Amino acid sequence: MNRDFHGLRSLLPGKAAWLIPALVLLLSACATHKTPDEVVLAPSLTGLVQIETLTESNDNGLLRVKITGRNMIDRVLTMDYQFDWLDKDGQMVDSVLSRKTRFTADRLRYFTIDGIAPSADVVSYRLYIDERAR
Amino acid sequence: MTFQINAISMKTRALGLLMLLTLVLAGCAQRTVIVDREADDADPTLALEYRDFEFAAMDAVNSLLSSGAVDHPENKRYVMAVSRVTNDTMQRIDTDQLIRQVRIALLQSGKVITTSAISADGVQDELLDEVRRLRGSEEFRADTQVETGTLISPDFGLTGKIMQRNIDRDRRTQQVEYYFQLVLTDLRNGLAVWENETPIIKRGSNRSVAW
Repeated sequence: MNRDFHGLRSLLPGKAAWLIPALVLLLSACATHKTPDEVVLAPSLTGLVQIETLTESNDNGLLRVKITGRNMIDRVLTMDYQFDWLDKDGQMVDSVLSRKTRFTADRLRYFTIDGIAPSADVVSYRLYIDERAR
Repeated sequence: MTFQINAISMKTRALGLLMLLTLVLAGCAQRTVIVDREADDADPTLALEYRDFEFAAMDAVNSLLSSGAVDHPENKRYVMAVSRVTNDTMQRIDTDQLIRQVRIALLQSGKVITTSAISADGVQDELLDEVRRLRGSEEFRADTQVETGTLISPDFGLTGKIMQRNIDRDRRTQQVEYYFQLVLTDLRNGLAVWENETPIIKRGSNRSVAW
C-alpha cells in the first residue's frame, strides 16, 4: 500500500499526490449515505437526517413505499412529510393520501415513513421531508 | 353668537373623533382570507378542524389499503356499505366529514365501491325506492324501467365512532383527546376484518373551549 502511494507520489508533483487518497475517502463517505432521488430533504435537515433504506413494492396493484431514516443529532426533530404521487404522464394524483403529515424522530433514533399510492395509475412519487418550526 | 360657534365647533370635533374611531376600528379588524390547505401553518385549535379529519382519513385509508383486507382474489372491487358512525364528542359535527374522505379514497384506489342502496338507517338514496315504485307505470317507457333483482348486496360494512375525552392537567392547561375508530366487517360472516384507531391529542389553555 505504502509502495503504491510512493509510486503515485513519484508520478504527481509535490503535495498533489496526497489529495487523491483524501478525495477518495471524502467521496466514499458521501456515497454511503446519498439521499435517494425520490426523497427531497429540506436544506435545513442536511446533516441532521439520513435516509438509510428505501423499499418499493407493488403487491396488490398499488405502489407501496417504505423509508427508514435516522435522526443524527441529540435533539428531537419535528418534521412534516408529504408524498406527491405521479401517474405515467408525470401528473400529480390528488388524494387524501397526499396530505402533509407531521411526525417526530427521537434523538439519535431511527424512524420509518410508510406510504401507499392512492390509485393503480400511480407509477412514481416524490417524498418531501421538511423540518417543522417549533 | 359665540355660544352658537362653540356648539358647531364641538359638533365638528365629535364627528371627526367618531370618523377617526371608525377608521381605527376598521384597521384593526381581522381580514378574511381563503386558507391554502397545502400550506396552512396556522396553530391548531382545541376543537376538531378540517386538518384533523384529513389526518384521520389519511391514516385510516393508509392502514386499510396496506392491510390487504380489501384485496379481492380475482382483482375485482368489493362493495361496501356505510353503517352508523357515532359522534361521541361534545361538538356538533357531521361524521360524513370523515367518512366521505374515506369513501372517495377507497373508490379512487379501485379496490372498493360504496353502495348507496343500503345503510344503517335504511336506503341511503331515496330515489332507489322511488324509481322502483314506478314499475308498471304507463307514464314511463317500459324498456327504461328498473328490473327486479338489479341491486348488489354489500360485502363489507364500515362502522365507527369519534370519541372525545377532556382532562384538566393543571389550573391553566387542559388536554383534549380525540379517537377516530373505524371497523370494517365482513357482512357474510360478521367478522371484523380490519380495525383502526387514530388518536389526536391536543393540549391548550383552559380558557379555550373544545365544543
